[in-house]
Amino acid sequence: MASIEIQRLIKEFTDRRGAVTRVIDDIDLTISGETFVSVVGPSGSGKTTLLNIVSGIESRTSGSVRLRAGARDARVGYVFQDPRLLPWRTVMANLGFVQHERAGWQERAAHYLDLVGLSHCADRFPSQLSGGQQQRIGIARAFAVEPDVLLMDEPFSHLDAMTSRTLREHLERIWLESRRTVMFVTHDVTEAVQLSDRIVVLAPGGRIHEIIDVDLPRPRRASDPAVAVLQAEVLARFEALEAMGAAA
Amino acid sequence: MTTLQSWQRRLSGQTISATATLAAVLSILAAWQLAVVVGNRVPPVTETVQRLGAESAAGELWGNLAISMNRFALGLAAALVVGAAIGVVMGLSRIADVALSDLTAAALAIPAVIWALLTTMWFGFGWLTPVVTVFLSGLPFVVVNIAKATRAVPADLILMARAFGVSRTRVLRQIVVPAVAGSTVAAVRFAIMSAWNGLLLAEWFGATSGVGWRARYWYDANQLDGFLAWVLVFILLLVIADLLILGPIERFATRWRNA
Repeated sequence: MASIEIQRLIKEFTDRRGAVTRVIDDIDLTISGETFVSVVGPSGSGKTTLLNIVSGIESRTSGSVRLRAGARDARVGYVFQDPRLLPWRTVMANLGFVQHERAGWQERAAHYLDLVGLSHCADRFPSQLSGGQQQRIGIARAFAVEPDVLLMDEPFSHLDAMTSRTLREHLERIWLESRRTVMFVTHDVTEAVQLSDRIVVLAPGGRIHEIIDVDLPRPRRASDPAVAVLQAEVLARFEALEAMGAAA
Repeated sequence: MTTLQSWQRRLSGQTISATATLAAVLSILAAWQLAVVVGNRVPPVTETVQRLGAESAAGELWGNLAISMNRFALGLAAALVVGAAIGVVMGLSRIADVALSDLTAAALAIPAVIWALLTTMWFGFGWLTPVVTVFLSGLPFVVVNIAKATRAVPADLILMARAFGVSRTRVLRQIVVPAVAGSTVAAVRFAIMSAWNGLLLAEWFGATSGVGWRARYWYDANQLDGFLAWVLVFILLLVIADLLILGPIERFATRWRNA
């Protein structure tokens, strides 16, 4: 079983004058098994920094982060805000780039391309695809490494409302099929409620404000009454938190 | 798009390209002929080509060409290796960039004829003069373009690769090399143009063999057709290298931009 274990994590930045700013403040969080966890919070609450530390892209000041799959280190997939595809490689070669030479990757890549509805684009270059299609390739790439842990950093934030709604549906369908451990950073409460089993709300300053369990049947639609009610409730709490941050 | 449409498009593109090349050659020949008619002592194309044939029959053409190519290859290879190393260091290190950018700019501003005269005074008549001139004429172009290319390697793709745990070798091969390929080919093209001029001048002033020396031989003999014949060789080699070797390499390296 895969897990993300974050213990007493602190991240501080020091500016040129020596002033220290704490952006992650003593976070303890464990995500394990087939769980989809969203991290939401207002701007400056350290969501992306937290994800970057978990992925190893960024260093931490203190504390520990462990990504495990049973007795071994977990294999990680990452979906970024922008697609980050190699422009000089075809779609299929982009999926192959992150594959660590493991056997059968072409079949896996073709499978996930099919799931995001882009199997006909395998031989195209990224510049021949729209922004939404490129992001779907980014999602297929992350799933095609068959990750134990999947990290996603506001993957739909640069897309229009219609495209992001379609991609959310794609994502939920693929996740229901593959059931990875997911840590999903977003500033969109609607997105978090529709996709998550748990929502971790970060407060300004990088503390965990609260953790909300989302116990609703899947697949979910934004128009489902139960989803809409929970969205309104979470949004109200989120707005109160933002108001607190602004007042401080 | 169907395969047939794709082929038709490609064929149409090739026809346009061939027509443009033919038009360029014809316009050069027409300008030459106009110069023959209205100009003073300009030999016709036919006479110049005949002189080139005579040089070949006398055993001067291929021998001098081989000597010049040898000097050129040596100087250019050294410029590419040294220039690439300096360029990468300047691209990666802000301190190296600040320390060397003015020197590089000054080197870029020095015309090839100055390098040719300087090396002739330093090394006299011998193989070192043209080789060092080629090296010094080509070096700044390589340094500037490689430094620019190194700075342009996309950091977000490197971070993406790190997040997926991709090996350094694969990052180097599939991100860094393709990212710098276009600028590297451009660097080689500029270096060849500049170094080729340097070679002609260095052989003109400081050698007793080679294409530049043979052009000067006919200049000193006041034989314009012989002089122009060698200038023609010089230009043709540059154009052929650019059209048949460097152009296709650059198109291949940057084919994804036109996809």
